[in-house]
Amino acid sequence: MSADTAPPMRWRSLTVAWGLTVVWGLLILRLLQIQGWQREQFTRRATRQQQSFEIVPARPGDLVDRRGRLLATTVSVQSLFLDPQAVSDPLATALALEAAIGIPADTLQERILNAQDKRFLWIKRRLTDDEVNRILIARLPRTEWGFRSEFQREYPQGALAGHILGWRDIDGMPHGGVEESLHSRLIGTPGRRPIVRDSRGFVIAIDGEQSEPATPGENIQLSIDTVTQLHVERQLDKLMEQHRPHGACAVVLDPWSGEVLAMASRPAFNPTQPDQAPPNSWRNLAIQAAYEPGSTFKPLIVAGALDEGVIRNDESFHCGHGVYRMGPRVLHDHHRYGSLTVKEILVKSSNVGMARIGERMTNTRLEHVARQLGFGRRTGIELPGELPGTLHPIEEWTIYSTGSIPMGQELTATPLQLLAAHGALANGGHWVTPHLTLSRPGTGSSSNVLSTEVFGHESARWVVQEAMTDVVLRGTGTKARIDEYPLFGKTGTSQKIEPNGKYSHTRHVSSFVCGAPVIAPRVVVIVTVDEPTSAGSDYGGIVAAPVAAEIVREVLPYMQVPTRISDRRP
Amino acid sequence: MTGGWPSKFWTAMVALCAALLLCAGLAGISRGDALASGTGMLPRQLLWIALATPAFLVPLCVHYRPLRRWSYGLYAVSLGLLCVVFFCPPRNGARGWIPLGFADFQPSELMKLSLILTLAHYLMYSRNHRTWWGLVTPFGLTFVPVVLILREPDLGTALLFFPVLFGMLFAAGARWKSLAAVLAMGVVCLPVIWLCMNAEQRSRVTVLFQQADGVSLSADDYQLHQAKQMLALGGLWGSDVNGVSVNDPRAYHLPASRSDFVFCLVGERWGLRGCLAVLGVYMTLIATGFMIAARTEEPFGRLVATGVTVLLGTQVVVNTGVTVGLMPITGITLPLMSAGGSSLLTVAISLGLLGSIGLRPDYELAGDPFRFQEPAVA
Repeated sequence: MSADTAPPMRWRSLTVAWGLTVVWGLLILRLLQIQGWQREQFTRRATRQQQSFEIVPARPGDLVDRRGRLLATTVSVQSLFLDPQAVSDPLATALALEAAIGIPADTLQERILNAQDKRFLWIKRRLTDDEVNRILIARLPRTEWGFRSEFQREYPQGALAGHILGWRDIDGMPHGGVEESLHSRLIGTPGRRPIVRDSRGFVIAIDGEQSEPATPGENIQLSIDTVTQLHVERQLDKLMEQHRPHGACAVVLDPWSGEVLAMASRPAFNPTQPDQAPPNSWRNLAIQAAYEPGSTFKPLIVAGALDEGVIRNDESFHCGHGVYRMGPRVLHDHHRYGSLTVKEILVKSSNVGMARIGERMTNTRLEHVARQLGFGRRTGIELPGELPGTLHPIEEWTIYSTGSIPMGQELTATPLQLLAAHGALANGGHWVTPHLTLSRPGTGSSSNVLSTEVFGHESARWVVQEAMTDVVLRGTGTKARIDEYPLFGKTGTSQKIEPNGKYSHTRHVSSFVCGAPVIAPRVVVIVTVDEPTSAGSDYGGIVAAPVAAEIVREVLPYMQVPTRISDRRP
Repeated sequence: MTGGWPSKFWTAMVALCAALLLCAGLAGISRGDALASGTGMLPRQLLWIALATPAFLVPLCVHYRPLRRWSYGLYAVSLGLLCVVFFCPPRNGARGWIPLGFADFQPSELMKLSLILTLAHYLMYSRNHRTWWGLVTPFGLTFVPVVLILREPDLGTALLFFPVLFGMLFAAGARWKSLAAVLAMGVVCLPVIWLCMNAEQRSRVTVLFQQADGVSLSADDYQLHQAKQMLALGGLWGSDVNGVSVNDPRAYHLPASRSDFVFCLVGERWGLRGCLAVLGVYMTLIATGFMIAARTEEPFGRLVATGVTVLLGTQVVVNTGVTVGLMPITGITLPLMSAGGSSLLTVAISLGLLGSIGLRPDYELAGDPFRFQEPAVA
């Protein structure tokens, strides 16, 4: 055999030897390349592709009212996950969890079995405290499950101030209100945590050293007062029930600082249950609806005219017995007034009287006063979606404007704009930006709050203390008369515009602006009612005035303003 | 036939190489334990080595002769176990294991040995493999287990069987024309194999040709990239001498490092010199195996020694080839070094057999009583 196989054996052995040498040579060359001369290139290659950053969400800041009461806060809630690969007995785990969180065991078991090749499976998110306790008591093997904290926004006051606060969805995104407008301050800076994933995308390591912790959001103090807000909302609810209007809103403002003490709009939504909100409830009528202000605009023009010196407060105007021709146009009053003093024009809300004052003012001065009072531009309050209203440029004004503007037509304004303008009357002539946030301690006053002198002090004082006080005492606003405090105010009933562009005779917006006390007023209040539909009059003096007065009657004692019945004018 | 060195020398060489490789493997595994934060694999591997020692010594001490008789039976049992596997729960999508409680048993490992013994038994006296028709039986014997293992599916292990068959036919004296024809047929079949592969298997092949040492990574070549990076981090001298070169645990992340990629860990720890030493020891072991085969007059022993050596050599080449990016990732372990029991036990038994053959290179003086019945079986 050996003689037979010897020659073939030799070439066979040689083949094997050469084959091995070649293969080993290749391996060694490749090793030399990797570990030797191309080493740098291999080590420099990025591992970055497999590294990503997990965002660590920051806790959004709280919202508190002017007295520190919590309006919106963020709580950590636990969410339960399983590691399906670690679950040794899916049925036992499912049964234990059924008892703890109430998901049927067979559903759970199926979910666990379907995810057996995975390392992470959400079981239930945002657990209640009871559920967390029951899971802990269930004593499942610690390797199988875990909690992960998630943030959840809570509104401890429930539906209160929904339009001011807005709300956040399950992903923490803000919708409306200060949640939206102050989002950048509230949200904080999310941190990040470098994580390494393997080629299948599973997290295999978390690099604690390179983590950047999240910076929690800022806590913000709002100017509103929860109790005041509550009073206002209750009054609005009462009004809604009584008069069944399309909508209504009310704002309470500190005329000196411009701080909004309460702002409410109806219909409203509950920020804790945004999914149940009716579709027409999202709009905050105080800033997102512009009406023709109507008669509530008149005191502003009177103050402007006094200030400009075109009229004197003891002057009288003849009101043409209820009919007055202005160029091609004929104006009417509700009553046939003869000669009226300036004060009487306001007390009786005479359109003809105002038109005659408007003639004295001329368009240029009218426009100047209106612009100075902030009409036609946003007030700048910290809320999203504020309307600017309309005040046409002076070039578009006509002879009609001279009569229309002084009686609050031909321009539109939001209730807040109107209230801010009346705030300037109440505080002796300064228009102050209405705002919702209190200045942060240490940072000085809020930089975007403006204060502009609009009227001279004397003009403003006369309009408030003489004319507007008499409106309440014996004019169109007598329904607002209350015993505890002297009020000044002005009613307004403006006709809505029909789709054909003409004034409606049936659809009105009734409003009432008032303030109290008369001397050094602490609050100014506006109540606007959109199309009261119940039986009875829809005049502002009848629908809106009592509500505004009731708000004053409740709010001022709470603000510890002494009742000074003696102050009332005889 | 070769003379010179005594028989014991070659067997001692086998044992020495095995011991060196086990130590290198342990060094790699302990480095892997240090890099991975989880449970260490070193104690378990020591236990496996303790079990593998008798698995090496028992075949070494007894004569391998009875295996000739048992080979067909063993082959049948292995086939049966390969079928049993299909009734066992899958792991990572493959059914390759029979759970035994304390450990898992991999019938394909047993099949490697059985096939070598069976082929040796079949080829030892027959000369018909020098004809075309004579090749049918050895190929058939190989194809049946290959098909079963492909169904698991375990492409890597299945493909190991062909070099073994090829090597044994080669040693048994098949015509080079026949072998070349078979090789050519294999090349022609490559497109068919490609069509039968699934997307993941294909991606493993394609990344091999897309290695652009330094450009973007896809998820597919993550493991290959990390393997090469691990080797590169070791550099010429390794982290044992130079210290850790990059202070970033991410660079050292390598899935399955202690089993399939233990060569990288050795390369990281001992650098190029360690890799070359390991390759050198393997080269010595394989050369020793072929020497034993060449020295053995007894044909069954010679063929078994060849089969065992080819199997080991193929595994070494495939595994190291994978780690340096010369071959597609297959999941073939590195004999003696990879962590894991099944593979270690098989290798220990194979080497025991090799050592046993090395100790008994001569013809038997006494005839086996059943020798004359055996060719009838074939």
